[in-house]
Amino acid sequence: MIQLLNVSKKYDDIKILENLNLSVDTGTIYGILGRSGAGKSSLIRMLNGLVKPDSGQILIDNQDLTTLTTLELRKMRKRVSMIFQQFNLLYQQDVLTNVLIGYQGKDLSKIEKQQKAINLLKLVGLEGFENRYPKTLSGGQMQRVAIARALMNEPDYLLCDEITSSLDQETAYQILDLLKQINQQMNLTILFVSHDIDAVKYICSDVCVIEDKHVIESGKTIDLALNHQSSVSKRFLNHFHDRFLDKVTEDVYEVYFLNEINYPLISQVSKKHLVDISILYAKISEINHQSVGYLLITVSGRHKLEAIADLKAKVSVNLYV
Amino acid sequence: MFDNVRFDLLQDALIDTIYMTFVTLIFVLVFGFLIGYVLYLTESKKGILKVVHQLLVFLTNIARSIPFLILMILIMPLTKQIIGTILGSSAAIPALVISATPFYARLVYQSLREIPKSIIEMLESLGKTTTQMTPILLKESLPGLISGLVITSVTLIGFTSISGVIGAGGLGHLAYQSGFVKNDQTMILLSTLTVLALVFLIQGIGDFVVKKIDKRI
Repeated sequence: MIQLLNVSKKYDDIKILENLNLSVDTGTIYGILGRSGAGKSSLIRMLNGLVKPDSGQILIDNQDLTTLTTLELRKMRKRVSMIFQQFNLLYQQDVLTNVLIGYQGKDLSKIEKQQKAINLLKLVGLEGFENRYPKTLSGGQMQRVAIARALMNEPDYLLCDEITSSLDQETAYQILDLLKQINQQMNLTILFVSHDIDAVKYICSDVCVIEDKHVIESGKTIDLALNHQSSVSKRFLNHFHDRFLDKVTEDVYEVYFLNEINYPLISQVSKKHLVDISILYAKISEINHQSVGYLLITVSGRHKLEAIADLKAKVSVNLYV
Repeated sequence: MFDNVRFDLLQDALIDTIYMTFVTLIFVLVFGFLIGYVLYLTESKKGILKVVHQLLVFLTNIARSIPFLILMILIMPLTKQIIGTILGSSAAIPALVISATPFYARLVYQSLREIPKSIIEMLESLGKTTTQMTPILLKESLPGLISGLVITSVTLIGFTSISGVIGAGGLGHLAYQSGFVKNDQTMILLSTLTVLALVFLIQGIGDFVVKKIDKRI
């Protein structure tokens, strides 16, 4: 388990994080959302000791990173691996050596290390790439090598700093699927820092939002997505500009529903209460393997209130404007 | 035109130039590399390491700033103490080493600095010590280090020619004594062509090796 307690960090008198608290359960894929400059990268680097907080505690399995000696920190880093946006491969070394560089132990013989690296390359889908050089690889393949390198020490935690940001969408999703697979196969806790909302909602079981130097929201991704008061929900579901509602004179309601509704809900309510229901906006998002539907509707007619009450009994409804 | 040319003198001068260049290069490779690497390691550090960095920068800048001919004259007492004479090919080596070492050290420093900081960060994140990072960083900057060595070798050939004028052997000495003093234009021309051939050969081999080992492009 990872815990950050009252962590503060500033650069040149500019506060990035202030008394930040965060808790990450073992085995989760934990997303950290926030705008550029919100302090996400500083935060994730603190978990590997690359950045030191000005104050506060960083507990990894109850061991405070801020009190460790250099030697102890080095040992801890074997348990907390990191992957970066720019892959950070060594261009003068072949793929196999790039993976081998990740190993920090003394227990394995040279042959055992090589076999382990080859197995990891197989796991990340790069079997037979051992003798290739990074310049001959695509961005996605380079990130796979970086993932294999990060797994050489069999870490408990994997820190991912914007790792899909420089990849095209299709490749990014392949990498996300790979992370999911690793999370399940190795019971690895993954911290996933990104400004890419789609990536976070696709892969993360838990999420937090950093804003104004603090964690303003955290919890299960699906719970936050379905909570209309949550800023995460707004980020995940209604990617539209409010201006298009300017000319709408009636009340607008948000309707959330989880997974499939296998009956014509809107049509049934409309017929039952003799009301007109206009759909202004609709979207279905896949959030952590579950489908979340989102509608913006207006309801008009004499039995409007009854219709809304009926809807509320079946799905989550909230007055939007 | 070449009937009266003393090719034996040309051959001896060429051997002297190669001797001065390559013996110097061994020292320059060791000292220049060490200084360059220490400059890199102590960069942006605090306390005693910062002092070491500034001191090395100061010393390398001084050594690089003194013109080679003046440096040779300046360190003649030191040369006499080390070599036992101030004449001949071996006597040129201390001045050549002092002059070329900071030059190569700067090139080593520059090559290492070209490694992105994110690579260092990645190695740190894996728990690597400075000692463990050293061979990795050297391999990563190998094309730059070899390229720098080639540039230093070519510069050294120029220095050996200058040193020939004040008593060291080599092609510079031949061109000056047999060519300039005795007004032998053929010998000046042949000395020049031999120096050019040597430079082209070193540059050609160097470029070939760099191209072979550079996996970045």
